[in-house]
Amino acid sequence: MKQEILVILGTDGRSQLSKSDRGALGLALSELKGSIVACTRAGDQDAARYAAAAGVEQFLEPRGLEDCAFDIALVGRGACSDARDAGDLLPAMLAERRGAALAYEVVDLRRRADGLEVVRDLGHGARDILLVQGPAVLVIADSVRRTGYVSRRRVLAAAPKGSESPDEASQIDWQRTQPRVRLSGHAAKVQGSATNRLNDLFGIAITGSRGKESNDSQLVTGSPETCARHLLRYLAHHDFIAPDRIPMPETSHRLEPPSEAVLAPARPRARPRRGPRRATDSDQGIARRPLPLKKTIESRVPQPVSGRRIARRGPYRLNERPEADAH
Amino acid sequence: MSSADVTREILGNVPGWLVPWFYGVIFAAYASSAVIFVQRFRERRGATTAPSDRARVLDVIKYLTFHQKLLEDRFAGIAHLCTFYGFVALFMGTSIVFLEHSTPLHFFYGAFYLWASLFVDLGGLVFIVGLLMFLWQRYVSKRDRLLSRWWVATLTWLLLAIAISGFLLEGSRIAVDMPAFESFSVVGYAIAGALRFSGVENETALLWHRALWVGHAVVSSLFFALLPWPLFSHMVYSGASWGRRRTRPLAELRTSAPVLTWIDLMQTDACTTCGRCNEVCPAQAVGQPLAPRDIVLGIRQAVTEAGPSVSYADQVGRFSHDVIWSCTTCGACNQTCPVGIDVYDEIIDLRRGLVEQGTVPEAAEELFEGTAAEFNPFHRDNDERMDWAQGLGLPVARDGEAIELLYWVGCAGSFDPDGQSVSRAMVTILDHLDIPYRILGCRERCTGDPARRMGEEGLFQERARENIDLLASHSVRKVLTHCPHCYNTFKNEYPELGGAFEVEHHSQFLDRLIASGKLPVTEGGSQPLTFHDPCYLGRGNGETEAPRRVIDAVAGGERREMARHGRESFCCGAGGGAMWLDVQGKDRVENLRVKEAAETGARTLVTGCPFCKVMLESGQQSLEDDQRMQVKDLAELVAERLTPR
Repeated sequence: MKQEILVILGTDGRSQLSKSDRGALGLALSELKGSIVACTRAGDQDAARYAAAAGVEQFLEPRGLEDCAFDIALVGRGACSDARDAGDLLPAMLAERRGAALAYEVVDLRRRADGLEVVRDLGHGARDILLVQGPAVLVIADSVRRTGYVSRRRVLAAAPKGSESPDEASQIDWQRTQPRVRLSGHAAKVQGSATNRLNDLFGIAITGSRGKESNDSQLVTGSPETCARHLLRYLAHHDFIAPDRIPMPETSHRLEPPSEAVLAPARPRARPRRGPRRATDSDQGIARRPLPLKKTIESRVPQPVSGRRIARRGPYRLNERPEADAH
Repeated sequence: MSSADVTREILGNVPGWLVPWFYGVIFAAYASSAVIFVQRFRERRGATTAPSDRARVLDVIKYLTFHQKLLEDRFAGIAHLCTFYGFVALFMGTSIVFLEHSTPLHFFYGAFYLWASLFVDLGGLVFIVGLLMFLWQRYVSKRDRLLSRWWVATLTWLLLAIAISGFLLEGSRIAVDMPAFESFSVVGYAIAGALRFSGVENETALLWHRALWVGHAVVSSLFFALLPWPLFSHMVYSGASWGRRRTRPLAELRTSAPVLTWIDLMQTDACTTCGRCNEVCPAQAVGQPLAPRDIVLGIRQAVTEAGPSVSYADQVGRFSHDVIWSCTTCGACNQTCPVGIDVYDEIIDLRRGLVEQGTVPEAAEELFEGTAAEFNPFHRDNDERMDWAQGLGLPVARDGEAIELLYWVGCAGSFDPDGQSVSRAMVTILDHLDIPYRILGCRERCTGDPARRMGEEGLFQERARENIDLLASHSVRKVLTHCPHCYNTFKNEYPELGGAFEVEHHSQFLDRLIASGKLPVTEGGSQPLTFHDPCYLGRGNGETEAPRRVIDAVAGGERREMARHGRESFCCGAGGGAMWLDVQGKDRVENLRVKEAAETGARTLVTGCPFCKVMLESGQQSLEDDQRMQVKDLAELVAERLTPR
């Protein structure tokens, strides 16, 4: 029977997904067979884009979690980091609501005929292996055995359903190569730029204006309503108007109102600011600090770290399995 | 005897009914080869196929005429030179005979006949000498680099059979009546004499002649029919491959998509399996699984089986992933390839494909994460980028400030202890010069070089665009860096993405200032030194002399050269992300390199790259105590010898 797999993930303040979040998605895609639904915080475009780039096609808004009848939910740490989304209570609330088993610090899992084998990291090199039958909520550890890397090219090219189209300027350009092999069979199906041919080669289906069209014919079309909505979102994004002034689009189905504690309502997309901090800004999520350098820097013992030394040269860590490096 | 009698009957002693068959078979062999070549060309042709560039055509002519590339390996080069010119002479002889017999032209008599006979016989002799040299290196000296597959020597044996059967054929023809003028056919005449001496009668000679003629015709037809086969086809493709070889700097990568191009396809066909690439490959030298030749042959096999539009999975599936991740991107294989095959790009393309597929080693994944999230491959918080400069009071550029000279510290120079000492030395020199320079501090980000070499093109372009925007916002006029990887990226790779900045490696900068007297230094020290050429500086960008001039200016001790130096230098084992990936082999690349350095007797090992410095320092552990050397960067060497103002 096809299982419903729910993956909940979220980025940190710097738009980065933690290992745990990527691991949750990687494990779902590689180890679990079923219908995978990704749930990201409203406005967390980076997480949604990552999931879409990894191959997830179905997305769920956080408010839909309440009614989601999942079989297995994999939760990344990033998804539990935002207090507005129930924070680290989220896995417990989900498990309680669904009557599911709850396991933290999951580093690996494998499907078996009689259930799901879950490996947990107990710290200090200790692990235990659980056999989970029935619905389960698994919180993935940062030391997860991750499977699959999602290239930046895919991430930048992906556009999850209903989200903004990827930013043209941030896309990766492959040099426009001439069709240097006869365009027969496979190649003939994909005319145009090297980027399009490559996307086809790797089976990347891109929605948005960078899709299958030639690079020379990237026309953006939209109804006046769409254009107006984009304009309002643009204005809100740059703080010209308040976010709550944006009218919600009419949808064919009625969304249930959010419950009081589980998840916050959708917020306009907020990107980490790159400029100098303002007095009202919080410390979190700022990658860069003001210049110049601090005049007095407390003495700090430099970490003996070099590229060579951080490379994995020693024996496998206890939470790694040799077969993980088989490639 | 009139000059008209000084000739021979063409196709004499050959039964008349056999002649049409002979022509039929020969033309069938020619035609089948031609059809295959034309078909292949049509399959793989593209808009840029024609080597219309006159300079390239002249280059190919020079390459074929002088064999300068092949002669880099003296023995094999001479063998090929003999075979090539011997083949040309024999082919000319056969063409003359064909024209005389099958066209109304009549010129093959008299003096022309005599000198043509001499020319062809000497050519045939040289041809055989060349082939015997090839067989010698395969079966007697048994060179390691040669591929030990049964089919590899078929070309040599077949050509030898053609040459020997041709001489025996000639000898048996002359032996029938032994005309004196045939002494110009020196080899044939000698064979004829030997036959007569051993008591061969005319009838026997005629019989042998007929049998040898058939044998010679069969092996010759076979040769023409086999021309499109691997190895045989190098006779057609090698010149074209050389003409289309990479002319941009060896270390430069392009944003070309990992899709097989017609040049790739042609170059895989041109491979002669000589194994020179394997011989110079550092990964191969330490027993890592990479053999560059196998990459080329694997792709050729994939193309042969699946056609030119072979899927990427088919290509990658032929190699273990460790093979693909072993490459240090030193470019030695590219440089040494006698037919100009771009193995470097092939390997990067395979890596790009692996990244797209999402199957990368954990170390690579960590590096990508670090470069994406922390903006450096060392996975350190980018806000710690200036920790090395505590107390130095460095001039960090303000937002938007125009910068005349930007000192680009680089990630190794910022985070690695060995690299940090180079950065400090550079700051000492810059302060001593008292010139206005700026650094970007924590706004500096990885250039993307390691990510790009590991196939993460998207990440590279992301970092590249950010850096280009940042530098453009400062109107940077000149970039100075002590890292050859950053230097290469700024010089060769950012321009394609819109970031054309003047860039100088610190060896060039120091050389220029010392030579002009603006940086007064005092010669000192008496210990011998040796210089390790970083691949991305020497082989990659052709800069081998500036660092040596700097060493000569400041070092009192003798500068000694390692066995492999300059453009033929040997890698330190760090490039292409190998410093992080560290594929296991029987030994380590850095260990081999420091052993070479120790053999010079030098006490100081100088280099011009922070990554090389880390590796060479690490390699010291493999040496005996009394062999260990001080590893220094050029900047450190100069900083110690600054003349006080």
